[in-house]
Amino acid sequence: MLSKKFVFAMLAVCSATIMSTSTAMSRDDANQITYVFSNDIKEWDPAVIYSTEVRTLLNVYETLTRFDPAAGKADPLLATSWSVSDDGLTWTFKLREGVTFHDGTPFDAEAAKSSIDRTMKMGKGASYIWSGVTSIEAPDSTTLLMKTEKPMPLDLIASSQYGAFIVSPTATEKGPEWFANGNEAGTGPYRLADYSRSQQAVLEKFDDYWGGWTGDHFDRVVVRFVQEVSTQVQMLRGGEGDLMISPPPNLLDTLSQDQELKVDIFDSWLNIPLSINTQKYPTDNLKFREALTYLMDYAAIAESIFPGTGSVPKSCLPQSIAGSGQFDLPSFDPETARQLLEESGIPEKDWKVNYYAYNGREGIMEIAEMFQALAAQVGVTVDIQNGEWGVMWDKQRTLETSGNMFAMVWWADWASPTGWLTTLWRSEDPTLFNFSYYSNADFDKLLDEATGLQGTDPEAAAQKFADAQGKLHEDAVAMCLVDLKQAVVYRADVEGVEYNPAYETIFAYELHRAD
Amino acid sequence: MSDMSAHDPAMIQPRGLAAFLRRRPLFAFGIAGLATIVACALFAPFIATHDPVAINFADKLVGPSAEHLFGTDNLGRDIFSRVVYGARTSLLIGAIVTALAIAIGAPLGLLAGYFGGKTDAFMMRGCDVFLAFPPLLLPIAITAAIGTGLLNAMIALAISWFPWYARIMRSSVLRIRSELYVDAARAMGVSHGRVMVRHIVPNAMTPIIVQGSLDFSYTILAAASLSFIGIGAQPPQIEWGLMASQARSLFMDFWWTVTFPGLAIFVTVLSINLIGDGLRDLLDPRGSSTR
Amino acid sequence: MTLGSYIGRRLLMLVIILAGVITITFFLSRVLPGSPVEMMIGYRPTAEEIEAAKIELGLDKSLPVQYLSFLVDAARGDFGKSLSTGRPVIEDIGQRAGATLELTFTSMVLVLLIGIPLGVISAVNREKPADQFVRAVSIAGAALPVFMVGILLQMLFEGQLGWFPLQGRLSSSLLFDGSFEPRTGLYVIDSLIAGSWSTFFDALAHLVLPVATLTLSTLPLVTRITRNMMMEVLEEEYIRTAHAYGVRASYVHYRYALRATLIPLITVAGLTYGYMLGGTVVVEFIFDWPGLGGYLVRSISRNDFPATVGVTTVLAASYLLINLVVDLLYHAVDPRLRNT
Repeated sequence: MLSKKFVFAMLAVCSATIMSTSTAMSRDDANQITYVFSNDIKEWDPAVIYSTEVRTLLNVYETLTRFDPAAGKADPLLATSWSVSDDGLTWTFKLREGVTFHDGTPFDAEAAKSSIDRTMKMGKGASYIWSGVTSIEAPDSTTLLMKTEKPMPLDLIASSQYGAFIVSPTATEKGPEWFANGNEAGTGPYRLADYSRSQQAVLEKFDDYWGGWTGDHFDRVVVRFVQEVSTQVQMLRGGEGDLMISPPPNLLDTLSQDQELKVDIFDSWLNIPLSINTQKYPTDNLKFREALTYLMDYAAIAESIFPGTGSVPKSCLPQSIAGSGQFDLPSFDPETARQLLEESGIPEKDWKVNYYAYNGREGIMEIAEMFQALAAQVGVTVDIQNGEWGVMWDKQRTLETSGNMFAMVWWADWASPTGWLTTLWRSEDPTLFNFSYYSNADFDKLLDEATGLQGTDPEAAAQKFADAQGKLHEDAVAMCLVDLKQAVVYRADVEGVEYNPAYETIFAYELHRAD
Repeated sequence: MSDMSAHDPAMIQPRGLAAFLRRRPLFAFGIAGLATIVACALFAPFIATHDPVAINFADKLVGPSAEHLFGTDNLGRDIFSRVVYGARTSLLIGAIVTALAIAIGAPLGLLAGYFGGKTDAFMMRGCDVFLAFPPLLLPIAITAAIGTGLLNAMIALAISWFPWYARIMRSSVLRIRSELYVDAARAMGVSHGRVMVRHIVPNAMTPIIVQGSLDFSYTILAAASLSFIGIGAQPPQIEWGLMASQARSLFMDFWWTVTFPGLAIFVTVLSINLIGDGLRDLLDPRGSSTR
Repeated sequence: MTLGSYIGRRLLMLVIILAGVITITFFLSRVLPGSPVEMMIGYRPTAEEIEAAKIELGLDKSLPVQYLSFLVDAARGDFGKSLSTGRPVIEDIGQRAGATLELTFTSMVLVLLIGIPLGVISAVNREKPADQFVRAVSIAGAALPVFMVGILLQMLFEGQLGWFPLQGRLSSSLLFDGSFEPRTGLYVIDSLIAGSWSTFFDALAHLVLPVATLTLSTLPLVTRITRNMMMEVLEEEYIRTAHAYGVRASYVHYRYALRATLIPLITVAGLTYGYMLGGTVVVEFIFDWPGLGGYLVRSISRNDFPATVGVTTVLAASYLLINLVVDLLYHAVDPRLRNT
């Protein structure tokens, strides 16, 4: 009967080993941090990126400047200093010396020029941020000269998390295929060491990083892509993960009671605007749109769907960003809604709207379902369509397949209201993010003027931005659902967690583990 | 030999049935369970304690209590009431999909079995193609193609399930076709259509009905799975698989959000299976059906 | 009929049915909602890019031409490029097949090793407590949807006990440290080849819950079929005769009856594989298992029709192949069939 005993012994050893390895494994390597994010990196080309990819890639790529939220101005990054001519049309950036891209190419003015030129030429992603730039020159290796047709705050624009990454010219020559296969060539503190699609990206410290490695930094950043939020949370609880952004709001309470975890809530520029389609029946009717805005329970969104992070907005721009106006916005009022519906002239049988929501963001579906229930009370039928973000985005971008309403979590391109107003509501063709299909010459004009004044007269600009926002509310093209704070959950032994509202990530270079 | 009594003619007498139930407590349990679910479906408004779609944030995510028997979900909706109303959806899915699959499959099987030859070969190979897909995979693929939603998921399930009925019908028809009275009818000059409708269909339907009642539970399970992976029912529909799916980010901390919808599926399917098992023993004591 | 001609006939059938499967998936792919062109080229496409994409997808040709080229391409395993990953679908499939194979194969071995004995015990002890217990448990088990089994295991072993890793196939540190080079795609085997015990146990630990879910949800089916088959055999004349001659009951059961049952049970393996493939879609979805089932669900939710069609076809084809092998095996071992 030796065999039976042997088998039992083996089983015991196996199970013991399994249990010990499974918990010990991820903690072996003390100088590594594991981020747990929902979204895989879909787009690798820095000129095209316009979504959640930056959570990972902001640790890999750098911009010329970085926004400093405390001072409200740009700080040096790849550029060390800059100046602007008296007419506000010529910018001179002095570039950092001794910087190399991850592929070994040295960083210089030519590289910066070709990077920005390429983004502008390709015209994808957030390339609009550079519109108004007429020429870029590199008179010597450390000087970048940019000319604009109107005054623009180029130092701030250059800090944008979209469209402003500086990429190695050697890499861009390899063509889009090279990027699509999961490659990068930035100057950031971490370089991509390994990438397994839809599983993880591994970033290793870039030995030649200009910032150096003398301080206390992580040598390696593992980014795990885990679709299910509940799994993310469990990974943090069990120590398999170290940090996650935007935990489920319903779990904030229990998470903050967990001794092994820390929950930090930061001011952010996150909010949820809901675009109402102005070119689709029946929301092409102003009264009808107005009626809808009275059917949402904004207080419930802030207090109950996003407890601890939500607040009732005063504008479709987060109150935390400079240039955001303050408006007396509609609140939940079914009586008024009913009255407006009657006045709209839309027959009651047509009180039907398509509401587009998407997966993967806690709260988005709850809001949709709540609106559905509230609207039903006054006889408006809400048909919710739900899918992956990319799919719903594609549908909404084509008028024929677009919905009447589309709500999404939104954040800044760079520290300016344009990231909302221009991207979301300025006339555009083809549609990228103007989900309201809004086209109003007055609005566009105000917006352009305001954008132009940003560089020279911030106060006048703010006034124009506010006027533009007024137009939005007059025309009821959007519902401003909620202003959000950013919640970050991390293992309690991780130190240095800071969130910069201009960047949708936590910079790993600033973190270290407590001894 | 213990089951020989199942063939006893007394079985169909009420007293016999009561005795059968007593000897087969599981069968009785199945009847009771299904009766409960059917009652929930029929009298949902009277049984439910709350409006199943009413949102009440004040009571969001509270555990089971006297006020909320099964607790509430992330919108403060009463899970007990939603489970009760969910019975309607699931039973309806079972009935419609099964009926639809029979409506497609039975006529095909009838024609194939009756005419034989090339018609038969062609139709049966066609069925084989559908059966060549692993179960659940074809409905998923069809739903993906025609669009997500409960109705489409039901159509997809029916499309991927009808070949079974075609096969069953065909084999019954083959058996009946060779019976004397069919030959006699044909010899007397009765048309094909009339022979099929008058003589074959009535005699071939029993196995179809039996199989249909057994597949009822499979259908409910499959539909719940489709809803769970996000391509079946959509809000504001109330469906158990969808409820479980909506609780996915919550169930680790709020166990009731997923447990009760899951329990409802379990009880329903278990009851139907127990009844099916009892029926099989009653009709086919050797239990040779392997599907 | 000789074995040779039988194989020939079965192969021919396989080709016909496979063509049918591809035909069905083709028609499914053409009615998929959404514009594949836009999915493919992403942000702010230009008119030329749209044209180029149409040509690449073959949408500029007539439907019959599209069908023919689809048929030819599919037969060669070319399903085009995935719209969401931008790589050839067949490459994506190749990369993920190992994960699904590991999951389904392990579960299949377990389910047959546990299910067949249970079914036999149940049949031999018909109507006795052992049988009633097995039947009750398997009827109850069959009433639980796969996703509930997965969720319950997650609640217990991850939420309460924290015994097993939560998702994926390997801990992150092992995925890239260079010591581990996947060859077969089955990590458990690969790690053994590499002789790395820590990797082996890590892969095993990741495998436990998904495999348990798949096994538990298929077990009732296998148990029930085995029981029914065994019972049929027990009714056979020669078994009764053996009993009548006073041969020891256990000898009759396990020597004669089980052996006679094992042959038709080969077909159960084929059937089980089909159920596994259906179940693996849900299991991979729940456990974030990077295999073909999860790939299918993701492709559907991304309107990625080349990927959807490719995976469906490959999974169906693998099911057909397994069943072919099963039939041939069956044919080879069953003397009665050989001579008919």
